[in-house]
Amino acid sequence: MPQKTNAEKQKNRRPYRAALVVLAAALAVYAALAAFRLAGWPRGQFAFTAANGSESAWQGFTLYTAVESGRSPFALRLAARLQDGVLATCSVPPQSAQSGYSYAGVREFLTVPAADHQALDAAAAKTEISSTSGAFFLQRRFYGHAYLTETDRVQVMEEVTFQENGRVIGSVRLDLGTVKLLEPVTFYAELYEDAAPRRMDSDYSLNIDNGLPQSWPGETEEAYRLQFLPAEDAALIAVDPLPGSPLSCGVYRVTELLTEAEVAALPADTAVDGTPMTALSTPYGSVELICPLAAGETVCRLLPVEGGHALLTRLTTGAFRLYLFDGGWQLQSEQTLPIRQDPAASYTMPERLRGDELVLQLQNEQDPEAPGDTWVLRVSGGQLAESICLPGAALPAADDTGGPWLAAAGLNADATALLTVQTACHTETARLPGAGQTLPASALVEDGYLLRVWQGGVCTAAGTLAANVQANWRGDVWGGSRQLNLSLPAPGETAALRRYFE
Amino acid sequence: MKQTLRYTAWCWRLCRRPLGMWLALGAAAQAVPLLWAASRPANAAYSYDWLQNSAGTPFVFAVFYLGAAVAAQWPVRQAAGRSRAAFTILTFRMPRRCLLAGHILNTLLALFAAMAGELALLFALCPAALALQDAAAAASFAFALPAAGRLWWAWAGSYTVQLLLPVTVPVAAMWALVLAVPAVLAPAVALHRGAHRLAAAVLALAAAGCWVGLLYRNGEPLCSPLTLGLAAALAALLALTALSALWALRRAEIAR
Repeated sequence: MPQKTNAEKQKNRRPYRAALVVLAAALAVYAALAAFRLAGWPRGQFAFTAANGSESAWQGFTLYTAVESGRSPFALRLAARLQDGVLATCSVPPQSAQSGYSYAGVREFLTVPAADHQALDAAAAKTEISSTSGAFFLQRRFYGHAYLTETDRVQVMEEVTFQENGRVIGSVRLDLGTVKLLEPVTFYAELYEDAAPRRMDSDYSLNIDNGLPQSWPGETEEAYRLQFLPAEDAALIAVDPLPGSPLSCGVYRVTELLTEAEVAALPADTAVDGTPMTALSTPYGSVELICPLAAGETVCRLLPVEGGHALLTRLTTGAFRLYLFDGGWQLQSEQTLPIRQDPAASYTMPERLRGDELVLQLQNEQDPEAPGDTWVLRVSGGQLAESICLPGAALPAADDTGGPWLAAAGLNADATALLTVQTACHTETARLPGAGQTLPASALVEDGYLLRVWQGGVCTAAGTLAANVQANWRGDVWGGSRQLNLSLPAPGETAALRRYFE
Repeated sequence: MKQTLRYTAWCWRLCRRPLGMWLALGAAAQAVPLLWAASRPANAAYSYDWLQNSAGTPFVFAVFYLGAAVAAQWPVRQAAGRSRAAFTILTFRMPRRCLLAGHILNTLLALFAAMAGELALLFALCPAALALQDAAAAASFAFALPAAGRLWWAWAGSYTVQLLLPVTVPVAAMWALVLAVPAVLAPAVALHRGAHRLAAAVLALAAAGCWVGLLYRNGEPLCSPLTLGLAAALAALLALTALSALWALRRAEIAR
C-alpha cells in the first residue's frame, strides 16, 4: 500500500469538510427560498386609486378581494381589504373546501301507485333476462325474469342523496304525487334467482330525468319541482309537488336519512310475482315543514345571515318575498318586498359585503344591455331593517364593466350610503399565429374592480381597485386557462380572513 | 456517533463526483426541454407550472432523484474488489448498525442536496423562461406584462416547488416520506451481494409500492383504514429491509 503524503494526512484529519459544505449549502438554499416563498409575495398586487370624491365618502365600507393561483391545497392566495378607504394586502391560506350539507345526487323515477300494484302485477308479461354482477374475474352471471306492465296513472318519486362535508350520509325518498297521462307507459320490474344479490331485484319503475318528458303529456298541465338548498347545519329541500302527494308546497328540513343498509332492510309491503318486496311507491326518511310556500313560488337563494338564514323567493307574479329564520330554523318573519318586476325578466344576486345584507339586481326591462335596479336589503334581529334601491339609470352603461350586472354591492355601517362594485374590464387585441397567417383576436380582460359610492341615487365618490392580474390576459385572448383567479369572498369567508389583517 | 459521522463524510467523499455528474445531467435534462417549451409561441399564454408539465420536468426530476439515491451507493460498489476503498471499509472497526446508519445518512444528504438543487434550478430557470415567453409573445400580443410579482407567482405557484418546500403539515409529512424512504431502501438493497440483492430489491419494491400509495392518498383523512394500513405496512417493510441489510453486512464479514 503506498505511503500517505503529509497533504493527504492533513486532509484525513478533516474528513467532514466536503459533506458539511454541501449540507450547509443545501440548508442555505432551502432557507433563502423558503423565505422568498413566505415573504416574497408582491406587496403591490392590489392598488386603490380614488378618482373623484372626498375621502369621507369611503368611510364605513369594508370590501375584501382575493387573487388565487394554482391547485388547492397548494394554491397561493393574496387578499386585500379596503376599509374606510385604506387598502391593506396580505398573504392568506388558500380557500378551504365548502363544509356543511350538500347534494350528492337525485334519482327521479315513476312508479305504479300502491292501489294499482296488485292488479298490474297480475297482468304483467313475463320474459327471461340475465345480467352480470361484480367486476373483472369476480363477475357472475345471474338469470331471472323481467315483468312488463302498462298504465297511465303514474306516481312520481324522487330519492335524494345527501352528503355532509363531502361524505355521503344517507338518502330520503319522497312521494311527489300522481299524474294521469294521456297515453299509458311501460313499467319494468326485475326478479333474479335466489343466488343473486337482493339489490338486483326491483319493483315496477321507470327512470326519468328532470321532470316528465314532453312526449308524455298529462291530462292537465301539472308540473312538480324539487330544489336542494345547501346550508351549513341542515339539509333543506324546497318542494312543489303534484296533487296526491302527502307533502305540500314549501321548504322542508330533512330530519331522518336512511343509509343504503337501512334501505335494504325496509320491510316488504308488496309483492312482484309472489316474491315479497318493498314497494318503490313507499317513501322513506322523514322531512319537517319549516316554511309553507305558495304554488309556483320558486326559491331564488338561501343565504346565511347574522343570527340565522334568509330565504328569498319569487312568486309567479314576479314579486319577491323574504323569509327570515333563526338559528333553529324557526320562521321569524316573512314579507313581500316592495320590488316589482315582470315575471319573465331575470335577476342576479351579486356578492354581498356584509353578513347581514342581501343584494338583488333586476334585469333592465327596457334595455337588457343596461344595468337594472339594485336593491340592498339589511336584516337585523330577524326583521328586515333597511331596503335601499339604486335605480339602474344611475349606473353608467359603459363598455369597461363587462356587462350590466354588478359584482357586489353593500351599504356602509349606518346604512347612509351604498357601494357598488363592478368588474373593471377593457378589450385587448392580438394577432395570433395560425394556418400560415396571423389571425386577429380580441377579448375583454379583467383589470380589477370599479367602485362607486352612492347617496340618494347620486354618485359621491368613484375609485378603482386594480388587481395585478395581467398574467391572465394572454390566456383570455388566446383561449387558455386562467392563471390567477380574482374573486370577492363571501361574508362567511371574510370573517376567517379578518384575522390575517390584524 | 462520531464514528458514524466520520464514516458518512468518508462515503460522501467517495460518491460526490458520480453524484455531481448525475445531478448535473439531470439539470441539463430539465433545463433544455423547459427553455425550449418556453420559447415556443404556442406556449406564450401558459403558466410556468404548465410549461414544466409540458416539458416533463417533474417526471425527469423524479427519475434523477431516485437515481441520486442509487448514485449515493457508489462507496458500496467500491467496497467490492481490491480497491483501496475496499480495504478501508473492511478494516473499519464499527458495529454493523453504524455502517448502515452511515450509508443511510449519506443517501439522505445526497437526496437533500438533490431537492435543494432542484429548487434552485427552477428558481434560476424561471426568469429565463419568462423572458423567452415574452419574446415569443411579442410578435402576437401588443401588451407587456409588468414584472412585479411575476417571479413569485410563477415559481412559488409551481406544483414541484410546493411539494419540495412544504408550508403546511400534511405536505411536510409527504416531504419527509419522500426524503426518508429512498434513503433507507437504497443502501439496504445495495449492501446485499448476488442473488440476495434481488430478493432485497423485491422487498424494497413492495415498500416503494406502499410509499407511492401513501403519497397518492395525500388529500385523504389520516384516520382512514387504508392510510393507516399503508403506513403500517411501509414501517414494517422498512424495518425488514434494514434488518436484512444488517444481516448482509454480517454475512460479508463472515465471508472475509
